[in-house]
Amino acid sequence: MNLTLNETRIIRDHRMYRVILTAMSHPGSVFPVPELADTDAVTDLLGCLMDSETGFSVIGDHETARALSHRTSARQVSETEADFIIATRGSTRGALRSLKRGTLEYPDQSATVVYQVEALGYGDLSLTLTGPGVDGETELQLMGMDVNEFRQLRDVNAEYPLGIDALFLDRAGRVAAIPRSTQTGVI
Amino acid sequence: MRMSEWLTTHLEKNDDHRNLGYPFGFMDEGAKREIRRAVLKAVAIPGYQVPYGSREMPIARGWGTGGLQITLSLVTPEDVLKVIDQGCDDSVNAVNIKTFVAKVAGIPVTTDTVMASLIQTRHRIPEEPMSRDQILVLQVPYPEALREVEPSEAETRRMHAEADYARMWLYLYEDIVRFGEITISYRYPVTVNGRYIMDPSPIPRWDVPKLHRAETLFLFGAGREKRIYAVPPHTDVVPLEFEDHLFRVEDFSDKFCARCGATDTFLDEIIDSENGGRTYFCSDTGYCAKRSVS
Repeated sequence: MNLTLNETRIIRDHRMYRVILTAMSHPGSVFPVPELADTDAVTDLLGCLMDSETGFSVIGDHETARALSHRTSARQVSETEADFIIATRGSTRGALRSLKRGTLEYPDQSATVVYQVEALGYGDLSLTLTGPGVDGETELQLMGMDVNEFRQLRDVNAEYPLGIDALFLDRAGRVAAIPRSTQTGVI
Repeated sequence: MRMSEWLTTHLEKNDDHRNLGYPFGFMDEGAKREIRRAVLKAVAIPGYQVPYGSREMPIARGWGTGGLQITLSLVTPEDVLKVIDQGCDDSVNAVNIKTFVAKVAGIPVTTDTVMASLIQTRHRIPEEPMSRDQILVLQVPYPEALREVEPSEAETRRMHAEADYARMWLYLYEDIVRFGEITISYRYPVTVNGRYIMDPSPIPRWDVPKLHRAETLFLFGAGREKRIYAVPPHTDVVPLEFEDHLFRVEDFSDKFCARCGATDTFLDEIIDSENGGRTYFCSDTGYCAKRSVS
């Protein structure tokens, strides 16, 4: 195979998206992302979703904001307007309550939060999940996310179908998701 | 140039999407990203119709462009593709879409449901159960289940927002008063995840129970109407019914497929124009062919 750089990136975007979609349809299950570089993992991951049509806000590491702007041409906006919120240290520092949750007519016009955490699949925070995409009940363990952050996530998703969808990315390049349709509890 | 001509020329000349002058997946990246974002929201809000900017495709709107755009936005080089049209692998529309996607993504095709990782379909869900590793993309002509009772888009959006479905129930009730049963044969309305009433696309009643708590992700694309919606795996999909008028599927008792002998599949009725005799064949041709061989 002798692909151009652009072609390589396009195909990688397709593969990344497929993992994100699989994660979103199986809340709480952890999936490895192929070809994810160690340093720019979140930038690589969101390249398949973000472009100049989307607004984003980074909470935490400002280097990530620069990298995302450069890679995706997405606009940096305030947290309250952002389509994508990237919480580089597993916390939105209280901003979660002010993010877009959509309207009853258009619940899709809501934020997606990407939490960068230490680890998925093991850790000190254990969650139980039920709802669409989950066969009965499943468990998700995380390291690097505060239990209060998670409680806030549950609060902002109390008025379904309004809400915020969460993606998680760990240091080993694995993803998991908790869409708003999932009912969650802390063990 | 017509798509069929284009496909024929390029199929013979090249065996590689890179030489076609189109990128992997055909569409521009901006279009793919918009569709991907819409699909993710659709999965997060099962049964809710996400508006999106439907693009021009090399086939006319109304011929599967909604399904095609979803397929092209998520296909990977590892996929094995199956495309069916009313259960049939070999109809013109199915073959054109299949050849096109296979070409612009450089992926193999199959008629075997079990072998496929990605299936695009019009008006049927395959008979063989699908797994959690597969995705079914359904082409949708009319995404709005409430359109029969309310012509205004603004009003149906309000009805969905408030879960105000009284008129839909009234419509079904009046149907029973008039005809003694609910007469909807395809596009049978369902409630998804206890919240949204959804049009499952023009699948027969036979296929509706397959959506309920399935292993598979179902994605619905309406290209002309510019809507995307989804049913994730393990999601409650309940057909609208009354306690004394329960939902039921088509009755094929005493009938069987004249080709493979199946008594447990959705059958197409073929009427002999000479003598008026009726024979039945499996609508799912891939499954029928598999059974006929073994």
